[in-house]
Amino acid sequence: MSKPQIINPPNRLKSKVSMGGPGAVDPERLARAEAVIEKMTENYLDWVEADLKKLEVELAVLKPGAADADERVERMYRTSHDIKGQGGSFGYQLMTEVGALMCRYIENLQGPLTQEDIDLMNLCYKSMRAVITGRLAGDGGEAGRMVIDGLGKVAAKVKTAGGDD
Amino acid sequence: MAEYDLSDIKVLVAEDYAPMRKLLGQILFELNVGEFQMVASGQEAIQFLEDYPADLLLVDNIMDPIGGTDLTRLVRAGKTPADRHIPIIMVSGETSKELIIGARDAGVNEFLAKPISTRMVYQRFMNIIENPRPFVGTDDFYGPDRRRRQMRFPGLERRRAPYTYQAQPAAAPGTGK
Repeated sequence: MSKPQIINPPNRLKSKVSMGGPGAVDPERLARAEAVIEKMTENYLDWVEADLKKLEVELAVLKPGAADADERVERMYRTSHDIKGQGGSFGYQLMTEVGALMCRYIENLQGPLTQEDIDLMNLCYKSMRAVITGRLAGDGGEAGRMVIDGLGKVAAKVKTAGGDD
Repeated sequence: MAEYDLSDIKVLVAEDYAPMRKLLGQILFELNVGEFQMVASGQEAIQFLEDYPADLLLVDNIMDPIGGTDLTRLVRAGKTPADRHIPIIMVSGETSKELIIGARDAGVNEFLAKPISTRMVYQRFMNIIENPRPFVGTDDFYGPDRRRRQMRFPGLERRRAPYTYQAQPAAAPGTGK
């Protein structure tokens, strides 16, 4: 094996930024930016509706042992993954929590898909639906806790499969 | 916090999920980034870079064709029109240790776990500006030195404390300090 080479490339980004001035990122600009992003939450509700619809469509036709089950579950994984990614970014942390749980559950699926798998994924979907219908932003308070508690069975299965670490 | 003016830099965002593209675009706009362009896959990014001299890449991990990790590997191998040393920030909803190590081994500079905020994006920009890492070239790796500082594992930290997100509660807009 040849000796590792160390290269110090020019810091191009640094050479293109300046400090301070009216265009700089100061605390006020950051605070304004966070406020604007918060306003985008309104659009988020439309976007997530489209994602929930996708899950609903797959779940409606998902059958244990069906030839297309893997393909459908893969699509559901991607959608849950998107939901997980954007939820907290728009103030809906519970969507991130439930989306993450659904992803973990799908990652830990073993063997052919069972009716129980479908039921538990459906439970995740219904929980997400409840979060959006109830506008449970943030941790969702008491209702949010109920949503998470209701997913205990899914969480337990993920934990048994070693997928929570 | 250092107050940088980012109005001269060009960013290329590769993200396949439209709402996340909108969010990232809005964040870059709010940070007064001079110019940014959006593409929806690693393959589109490679084509776009032919004519677009980006200073930084912001890439999602899961995209088709060519996800963020593979795109990074191609950039570091000099197989794209981009500068091999261009800073790359990976944005990902998936935060498994394997994925983060895979991204680091492909040569990403910074990792950003979704959910993201404006502050988090700016923090990564600052890291690249203030703490540039030398590049290391070996038989099987070319990228920012992986040993110089511990790569952060934001997702793993978050999973240990799942309710400690930084986002403001929507019920009390603008009151967080």
